[in-house]
Amino acid sequence: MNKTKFIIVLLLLSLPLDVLPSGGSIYSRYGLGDFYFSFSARRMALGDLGIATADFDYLNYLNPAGWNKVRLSRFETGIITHGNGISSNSSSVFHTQTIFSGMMLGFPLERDLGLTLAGGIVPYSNVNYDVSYEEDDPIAGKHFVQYNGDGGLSKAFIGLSVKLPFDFALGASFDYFTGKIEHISSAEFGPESEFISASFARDYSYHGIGFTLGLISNNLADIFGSEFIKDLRLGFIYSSQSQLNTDTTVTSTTLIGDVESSTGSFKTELPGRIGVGISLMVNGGYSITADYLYQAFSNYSANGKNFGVLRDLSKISLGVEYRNPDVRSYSFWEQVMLRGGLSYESTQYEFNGKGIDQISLYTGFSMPLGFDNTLDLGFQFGRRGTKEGNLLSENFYKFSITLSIGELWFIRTER
Amino acid sequence: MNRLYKFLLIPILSIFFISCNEDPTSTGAGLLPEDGKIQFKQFDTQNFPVTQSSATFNADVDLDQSITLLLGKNSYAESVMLLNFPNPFSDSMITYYKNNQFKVRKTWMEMMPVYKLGEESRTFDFNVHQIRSAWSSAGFDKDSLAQLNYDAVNVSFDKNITDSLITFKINNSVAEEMLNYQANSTTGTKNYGFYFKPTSNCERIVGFNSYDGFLDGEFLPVLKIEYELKTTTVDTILVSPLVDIHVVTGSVPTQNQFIYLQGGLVSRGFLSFDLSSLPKEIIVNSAKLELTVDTLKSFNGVPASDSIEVKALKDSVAKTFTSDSLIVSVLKKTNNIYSGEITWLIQRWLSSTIAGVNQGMQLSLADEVRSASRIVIHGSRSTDLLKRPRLKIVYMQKK
Repeated sequence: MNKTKFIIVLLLLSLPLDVLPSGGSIYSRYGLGDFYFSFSARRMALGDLGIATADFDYLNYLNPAGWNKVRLSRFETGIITHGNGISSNSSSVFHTQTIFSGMMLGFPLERDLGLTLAGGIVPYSNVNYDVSYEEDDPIAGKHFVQYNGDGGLSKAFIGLSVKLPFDFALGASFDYFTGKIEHISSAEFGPESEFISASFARDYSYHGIGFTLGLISNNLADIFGSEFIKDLRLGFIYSSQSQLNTDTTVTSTTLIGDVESSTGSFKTELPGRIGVGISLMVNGGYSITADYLYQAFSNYSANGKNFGVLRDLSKISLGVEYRNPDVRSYSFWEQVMLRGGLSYESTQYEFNGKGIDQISLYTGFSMPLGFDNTLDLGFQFGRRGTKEGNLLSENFYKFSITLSIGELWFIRTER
Repeated sequence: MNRLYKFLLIPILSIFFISCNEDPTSTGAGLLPEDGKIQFKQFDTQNFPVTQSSATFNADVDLDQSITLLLGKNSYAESVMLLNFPNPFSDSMITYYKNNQFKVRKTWMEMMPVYKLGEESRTFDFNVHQIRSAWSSAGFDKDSLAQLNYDAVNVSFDKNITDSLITFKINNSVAEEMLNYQANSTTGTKNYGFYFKPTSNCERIVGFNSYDGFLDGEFLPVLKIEYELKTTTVDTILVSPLVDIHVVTGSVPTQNQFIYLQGGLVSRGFLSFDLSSLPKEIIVNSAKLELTVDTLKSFNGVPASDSIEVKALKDSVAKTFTSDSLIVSVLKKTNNIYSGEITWLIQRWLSSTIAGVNQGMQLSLADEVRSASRIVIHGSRSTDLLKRPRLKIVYMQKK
């Protein structure tokens, strides 16, 4: 790893420690929060999904079968910054948050067989909200109440891909979910008040297992008999439903200090996911992806209870990538890859019968950092929700940077 | 190009991740789930009577730490005072005395009242006796007093008692005895100080600064000896006591509908509330204790005993304390009610996982070692329900 790559990795890893979350959407108060569908900036810029893509120089987060073409050992890591402009009928606020987007490692064990071992730890969901307002209580008088939440689920996984007969590819991963979500309710009294400020913090610690199966078809381009279409594949993924062991702790911050007032355990049902996608490569270096993802979040339950505000989640996305087909290009700009995409998502949130839908536009590009190494940037701008029915409308952006490094680690050279 | 790109890349990346934040607002408050919201509730023993109990008990308190010495008598207490002075005469004076060139002309004492209990119109009188046995203020109590050896003769006379100063003369023989003893300890009679005892007609109590509180000697009781040297020089020796103590005797009534808080003797109060009806997982935002005074039964001095200290008990029977009982809540007096926050104490009981941690609280006058006040509080068995000890708790819980 050269000096530039080393500095970028350090920068990416250290940034989240300095940039603290400052609140986000109150929608994330429900369930397990907002979901991440893309681990990398490249995938984000293609519309967040990419179920049918199998790259030689990128690791597919959603579909383990997509690892079958990886040619070098790979390491990918990055960060994601969110910015949320949230508006209600009476007020608006802007929040930002930066998180470490995790990392993935992939090792091609036998390239001819498409046998690749890959694993990593990536964010799965994110809870981040901060609401504060003044209240005049008949008993406690004027005070500020604050409700804030923070945390989320992460997914650690390890899996294999393999090529099947007829150029099909199969992949599977063992998934381990872990994470902590904290909800804090606090009351703050002014110096003139005779009351003591205090807060309740309820921590949920999750851990549970699951698995993901993925399949990518052979090249179906021949069906069309067109010179224009060079590669056409279908992809499919299934992530199992997971039962997460959930430990809860309630801590009260009182005049005598922090008091752990109760603890308990229950099960959280994380619904499974299915997704299908199509990947198309055409002449001129263009790739097109189209995907559909579904998660029956109406089946979500925590301790046997459903909030009553969660519905099934579905997401449709479309992405386009341009990559210079001339592999002999040495110019910096000729090696830059360009991307764009859009998506429509019926999020898992539904209030008073009104679903919270989201539409997003994406763009991004990859800058070369030497052979098989890129620095990827992805940008998403989206709108979510509505002000109708006292709900919230959000204009948000996400900015993602991923460093994708390919090296000849652990690869047996041919003699 | 490649160099420029590498040079600019890292600064550009850093700029992207500089967050801009706004303070939290109420945006989205309407979407908060009700079951996680905070609500406040009030627990008032006057509106929701709970089992409570109170009592009065005597405490063995070392009055040596008092910054005030009490002398006098009233309907329920008598306080005597002991002062011991250092040798008043210098070696040169003793030499002159041995050569018959030193003569005591006048001996008197001045004492500045700093505490008064009882109306000014009431009689205040006392006798002063020379102590003839050794004593120490450490651990000195009424039992020690019974062992004290002192002269029956009252050596004080010509008392002048005013609001701001008490003066009285002492027989010159007392100073001469001291002189004799300093000149020759084998033949002289040692004076171990003065024993001040109120006379039978005394009807009030007065307090003076003690050596413990005023090390610099200013405003302490002072013994003054006017002397004549070689028949030509007249001067005065001023001596303040180095050791002092007061001892209060008397009795405390046993009417269980009241709590008797008394200084000097000392009597304290026990108070307990059954808090088991309060819900679990609550945070106490305020817990105020109110105690109503029976003014007709109370005797308060000047400065007034206007503070009551509250401590958590470890054992309600043995009246022992926990390590954190050093934390003291103070109730201040407004009109006829002592009130104050005991939030820490209530939260401690409610948050504890130890069974039976609520062993009640001890009530005591903040000035119990330096006053002789008797503050009578309506207790848990008071016939007037509205005057019973009242605990008002405001707590918060999640819906």
